[in-house]
Amino acid sequence: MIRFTVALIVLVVGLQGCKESATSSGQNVDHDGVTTVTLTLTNTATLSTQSFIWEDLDGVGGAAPNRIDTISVAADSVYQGSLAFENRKASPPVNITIDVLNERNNHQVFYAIAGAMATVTTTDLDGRNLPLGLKTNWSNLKKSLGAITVSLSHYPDSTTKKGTNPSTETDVNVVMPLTIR
Amino acid sequence: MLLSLLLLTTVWSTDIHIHGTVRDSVERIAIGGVSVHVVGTLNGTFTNREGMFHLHNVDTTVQQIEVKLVGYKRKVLRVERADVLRGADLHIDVLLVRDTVQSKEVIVQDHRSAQTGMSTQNVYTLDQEEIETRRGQTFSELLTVVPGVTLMSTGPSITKPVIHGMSSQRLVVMNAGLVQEGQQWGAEHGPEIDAFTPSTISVLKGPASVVYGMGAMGGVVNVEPRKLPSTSALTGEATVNGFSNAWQGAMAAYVEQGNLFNAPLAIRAQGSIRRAGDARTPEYALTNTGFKEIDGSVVVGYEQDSMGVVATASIVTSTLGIYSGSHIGNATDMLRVIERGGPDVTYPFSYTIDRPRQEIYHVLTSVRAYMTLPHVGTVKATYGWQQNNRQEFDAHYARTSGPAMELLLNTYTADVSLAHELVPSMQGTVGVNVRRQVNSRGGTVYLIPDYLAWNVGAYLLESYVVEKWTLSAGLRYDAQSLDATLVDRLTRTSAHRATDYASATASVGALVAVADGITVGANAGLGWRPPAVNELYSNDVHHGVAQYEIGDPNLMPERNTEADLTLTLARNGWNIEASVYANIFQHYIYAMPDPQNPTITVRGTFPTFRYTQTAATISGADLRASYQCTDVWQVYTTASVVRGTDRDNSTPLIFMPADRLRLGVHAHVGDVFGLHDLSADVSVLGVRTQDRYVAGADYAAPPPGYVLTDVTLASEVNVGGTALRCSLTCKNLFNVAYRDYLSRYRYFALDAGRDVVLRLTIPFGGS
Repeated sequence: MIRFTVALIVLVVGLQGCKESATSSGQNVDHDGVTTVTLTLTNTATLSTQSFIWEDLDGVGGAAPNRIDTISVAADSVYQGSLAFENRKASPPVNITIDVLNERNNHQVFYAIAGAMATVTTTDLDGRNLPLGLKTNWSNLKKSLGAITVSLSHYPDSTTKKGTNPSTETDVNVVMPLTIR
Repeated sequence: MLLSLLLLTTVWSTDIHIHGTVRDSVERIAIGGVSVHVVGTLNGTFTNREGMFHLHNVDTTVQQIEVKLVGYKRKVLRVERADVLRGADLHIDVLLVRDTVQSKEVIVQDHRSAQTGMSTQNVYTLDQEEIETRRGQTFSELLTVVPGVTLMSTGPSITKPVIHGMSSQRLVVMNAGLVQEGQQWGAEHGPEIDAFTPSTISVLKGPASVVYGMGAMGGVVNVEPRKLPSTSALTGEATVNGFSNAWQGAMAAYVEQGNLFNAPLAIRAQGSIRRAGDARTPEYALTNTGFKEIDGSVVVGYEQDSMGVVATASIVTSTLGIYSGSHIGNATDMLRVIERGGPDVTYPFSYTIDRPRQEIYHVLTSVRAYMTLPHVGTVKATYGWQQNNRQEFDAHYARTSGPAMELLLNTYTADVSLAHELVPSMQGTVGVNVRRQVNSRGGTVYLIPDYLAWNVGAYLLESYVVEKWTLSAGLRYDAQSLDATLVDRLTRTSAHRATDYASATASVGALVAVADGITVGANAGLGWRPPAVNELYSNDVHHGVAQYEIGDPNLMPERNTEADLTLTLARNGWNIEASVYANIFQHYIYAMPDPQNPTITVRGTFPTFRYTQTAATISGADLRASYQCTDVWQVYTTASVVRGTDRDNSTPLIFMPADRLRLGVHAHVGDVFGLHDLSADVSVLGVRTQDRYVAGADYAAPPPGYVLTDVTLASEVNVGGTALRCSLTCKNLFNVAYRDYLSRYRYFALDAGRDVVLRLTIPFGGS
């Protein structure tokens, strides 16, 4: 009996040699999270190029965004816009724009301007000829101040993407001040 | 066919049905859970809540029936041969006499089936019929039969109990003698317990910190494996459940055998599987709410009167789908879903479990030993090891293979206690508990850190029985040391932060039999818990609620002082239990909205919630009443009311269960149409809207009240000499579209609709 008891306890205590560390890969690195949104605007007349950055290097949570540029453009000009998403927290940095392009039928970028007077239209299309939004045309710029909200909608089911409706799975949603001088 | 009919007739004609009630000889109160057993056979049963029992297939050679329960003198009833021959239906009423001078046998018995809480406290033990006809998709669903217990749900697959408005870290769930240690802090983390575990389940409402330590502020749910068999026959049971709502199938079986190697050695092995597809509301399917579960357990025991060892090992593994429509990006998305009122597109029913989902396993092992020392008492020792692994896969991270969050929690516990009898009629227990807990996180979500926690506690409980009075008192001291490893996400460096907490708690209680069949019990007690790790260190988006939660490392322990008063009456067919309680909290911890400082992230803006403390009160009342009109008919009701108030801010507390009332009729028809022990039950549950809330503090106002109707038919069917127990239940008979206030999907979708449940239990083996 005593031997039985001892054997049983040893058996169970022996199980203590168990793992105590979570084994998930990507520990502490949000490989997939966007940290940096870059909007590059090219003046169609002068061909001069400017980049505006919104960045939160430590990802969602933790510290507040470390960089939010003011988009500054000239009134009465026309610009071609190009948007890029990156994860600069990962090393080497990950270009997430490529992922969005590869899954273009499941994504759409929306631009909403508040205050300022400008028209932003999407010029690129996905595989079903619905707007994608990585490429844009900026026109009707009038001297004013405001802000632009750039949001990337993710549609897990591409049939729910209609070209006009944002999804309820927003991957990116950043607000940048907009000055039209 | 003809042959089987003949067979049935033969079985019926030699079969006697003995039924009756068991009551306390002093208080005349029905006693549940009493073992009623035909001496010399394997035929036995337990009394239900009303003290009623039904014995079937009793052989005509029956001579003695044994009636016994811990704390009462054993009674053996002689069955007269003439009575047996006179009719096939015998009615027996039994009065059990309290064993105030507790015999040695009782002390030993006591240590095989642990008592829940102090003897003066309000404990509800589910009887076998309640367990069998209510066994649902999750373990917690069983508990809703107890007035004052409601569920917090994240869809049909994840539910956790709420006792008197308290859940998660304010409750203790005991499983096989151990405090169940999972990631209780999460509202979408249910207790990992197999709903099929062959067990006895009791629920203690009220503070139980003195017995169970930190966290037992609102109550205790105690799940004990059923007693191991003592006979050498190999017996078992197979159970099959089918649920129409999610086309869910579940199967479980156990086999057990005692008297192995002619020693008091017994074993039970059990296993179960479960598979469910998408749950369906009256209007649409809830995409990706399917789940699957595979569980198993083994219990081995060597038990003598003077000493014994029982070892338990169990594993629960489950994959739980999270409703895809509840997966949102930010606060604007949340408002858009609420405005829409339901899913954007609805998909057909499917068994597929995609992201987002949870993958969980929980291993629990315990070894419990007891030994009676002459003139000292009984020493009991328990060693436990639990490993809880939780992986949460987030649809936002679909391009990487790993989980967004992985948590691995190892808990080692050792408890030693001594049950003693200082003077006759005065019994007590003195004990110590030690716990070491290690948490390790992986993935990208920072809701809780890595930590190492040590807990030490010591307690003394005494209970004194004098004539019609039972008096109890207890004292306890606990200390916790928590060492958390906090990571700076930008620099990826880590730092340790240690916190220590300690507190004394106490409880007193009295129970008195004021008149024939009437008792009054009163208890007062203190409870406490240290702040949970997420409340201290959380710093991330809590998905599904679209809020950014920030912990406060300087939180103080939360404390409550509870007083309750319970009246029970059992007279002339009436069975009434009514109780009122009040909980006064100091430093009640909750997440307070901080609308001035929304959190800006690349995914948008989230409302910020900061963990903070306030003075709060939770009070309420529970009622359970039944009236046995005739031998067949019974009407019953349960009701509960909870009121939570933030005293510092003079506002209602958020997420308090809404008032509810159930009215039902139960008919125990007996034997008709070749069915044994046929019973029917119809009940209507009415839930009021929660009108006590702070406007604007939540995304959506509490949903309107609702009325649900449930119907159950249960019977025993004799097939070739085997008594199959079966029941057919229809939940939400009228397929009412509703949302419960404590359902976390209520922002996104309706609750599940009609569910027809078929349950079959097939005993096998034996002589």
